Amino acid sequence: MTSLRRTALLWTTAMLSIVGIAGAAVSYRLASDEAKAFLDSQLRQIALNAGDAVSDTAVSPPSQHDREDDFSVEIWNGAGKTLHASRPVVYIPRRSQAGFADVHAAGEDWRVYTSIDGARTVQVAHREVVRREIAQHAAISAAIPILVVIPLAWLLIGWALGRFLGRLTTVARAIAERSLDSKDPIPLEGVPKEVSPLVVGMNSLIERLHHALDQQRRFVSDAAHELRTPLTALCLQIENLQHEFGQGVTGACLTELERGTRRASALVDQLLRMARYDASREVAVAEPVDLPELLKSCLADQVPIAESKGVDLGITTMESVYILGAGSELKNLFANLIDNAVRYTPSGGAVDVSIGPCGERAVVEIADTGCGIPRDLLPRVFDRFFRAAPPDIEGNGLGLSIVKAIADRHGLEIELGPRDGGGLVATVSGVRISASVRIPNSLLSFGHHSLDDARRLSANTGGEARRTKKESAEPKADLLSVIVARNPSHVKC
Amino acid sequence: MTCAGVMRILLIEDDPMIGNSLAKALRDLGMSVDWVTDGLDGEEALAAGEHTLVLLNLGLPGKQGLQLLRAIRTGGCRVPIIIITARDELDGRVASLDLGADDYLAKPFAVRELVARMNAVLRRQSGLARSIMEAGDMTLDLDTHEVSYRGTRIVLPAREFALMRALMERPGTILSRAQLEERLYGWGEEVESNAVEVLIHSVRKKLDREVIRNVRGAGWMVVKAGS
Repeated sequence: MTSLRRTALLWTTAMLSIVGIAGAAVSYRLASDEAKAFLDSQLRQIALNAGDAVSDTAVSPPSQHDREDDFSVEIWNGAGKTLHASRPVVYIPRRSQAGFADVHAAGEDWRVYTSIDGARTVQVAHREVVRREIAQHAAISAAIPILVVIPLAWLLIGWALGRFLGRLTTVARAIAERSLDSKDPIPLEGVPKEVSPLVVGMNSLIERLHHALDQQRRFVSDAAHELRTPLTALCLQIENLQHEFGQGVTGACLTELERGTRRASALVDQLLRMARYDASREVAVAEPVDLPELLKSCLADQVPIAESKGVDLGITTMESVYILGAGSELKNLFANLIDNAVRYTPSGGAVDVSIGPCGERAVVEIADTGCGIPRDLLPRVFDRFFRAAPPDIEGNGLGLSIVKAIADRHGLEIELGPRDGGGLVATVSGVRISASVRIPNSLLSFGHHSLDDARRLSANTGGEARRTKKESAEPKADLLSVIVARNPSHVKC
Repeated sequence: MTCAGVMRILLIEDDPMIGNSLAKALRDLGMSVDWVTDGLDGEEALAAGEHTLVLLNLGLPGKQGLQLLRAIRTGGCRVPIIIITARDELDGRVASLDLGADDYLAKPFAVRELVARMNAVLRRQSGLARSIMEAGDMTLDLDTHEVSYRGTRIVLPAREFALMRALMERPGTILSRAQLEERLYGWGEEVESNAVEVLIHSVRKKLDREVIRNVRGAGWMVVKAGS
């Protein structure tokens, strides 16, 4: 993956370095030339003003001054006799031509200026090494500030880029934190102009994606609905046939056929439910749900089936406890679990339901004496269309997926495990609320956030819970929780 | 299960397979069935005002079922209407009942259940609803205290009648012993510990064990129609 920051940093610093170094080189050169020109004019000044000099050793105080740096001055008269020579004397041959010249003498390079006025010849020389050193010093002083600024500029650019890209990170985080159901476009405020086409593109993609998702969800729902019409026709035809040929072998076949259509109808119903829960991850309306009442009504629906199968269906413990949720969905959840328990329990077995509070949670257990689920298959039982049960028992593998979907929407925990002595225990748990909590309308349409808010609210008002006369007295009901388990014993904490 | 007398049913259903087989099933039960396949024909047929009851499918061509329902009711026609639909969302159910439908049945359904609902709607319309309660195969006459179950008809004594009335008011709902005692005995009245069981035993003996179901740990109930 290419990093915009790295590329930008690399290019700007490289460019900056090249420009900087070039600038430094030019400054170096200019400063060096300047220094040399200055030194030349010094040579000339000395030559033009040189007269008889005083003795160095006689008058001048001793100095640390390096004699190497000194100018060498020599004056000749017209006859070519030396009138004055600076000390230490360096023998540089007298030049016959006035002006500047580069001369090699006494094993060194010299810059020489010669002035001739007929009577005298003055020749001033300066070591080339010294001149070069002075020019270099000047040039380096000119170039160094530029060289120092280059790394400073790198740091500055890096920091600025970081700040700019930080704004992109904010946008990225906002996108990453979006809920799957969120249909609002990503806001363009605060997004850099250059990046906004990307965000606009993403928004259009999100919209199309939502459209496709909606279509897919609608397809499942539509398909299920459409299947109902031919299924109804089939059921009616079978009923008509039974009416006319309900006896003997044909009758038995028709009964089998009817069973088949009933299975198909049940599958269509489950598919529809699944599609509905898939459409949104949040519960539309939440209200306090009286769990014993809810479980009693689930039980009532199963009583005829349990009786015809010879399964003893009943409640072992029942204490008043409330949870927050959508009643119809929660009923679906428990109905599915009880239906499973009855379905997989053979004749003569028992299904026991217990409901009650457990600390800050409400606990419902549904325990059966059925075939149970092998331990290694337990993690997969919530997968769609996965069946752990013996193949001779009817089922479509969607029931527990629906249970899980509803539990997730309500923030309930669900657990399946073996029951002591054979069978299965299903446990669902959530947070308790008190019965009399009034939830503001603003919280009635909730996601998990507002569900938590509603629970907090209930926790705060828990002490004022009203009780009906039949409800057992219990400690301050503050929070709600549910456990469904299949176990004949009391609710386990 | 069959309806006495000649009932003339208007079936508004666009699916030919369902229309055909439902019409045949109802005719076999001795009803006269007029079957139309779209909403406009349905409206026309209704204008004659000869039908006892209308079975209306919601997803119709020509005129949508709900529109037709609204048109019928705003036109002042009081004929009983049962909605039959593949859509079973709560909103659709509430909307059609608000618009004046008498009942709502989701596909797929059994003819038995449809006929039971038709009978219930008709009874309610003829003003019998207040005096007769129904649950599954059982009816209870509130005026005569007469209970009927699969051909058996008997008049119940006061306490037994009160018990059955409590149970049949909400078929499919479990009532606890406390709830039943509250309905059967006045405040301050001494209740013997097994009074409710004695009454239930007595009713079961007269009719059948199955009429009152016991749910261990929860209470007693009578089953709903269709379950």
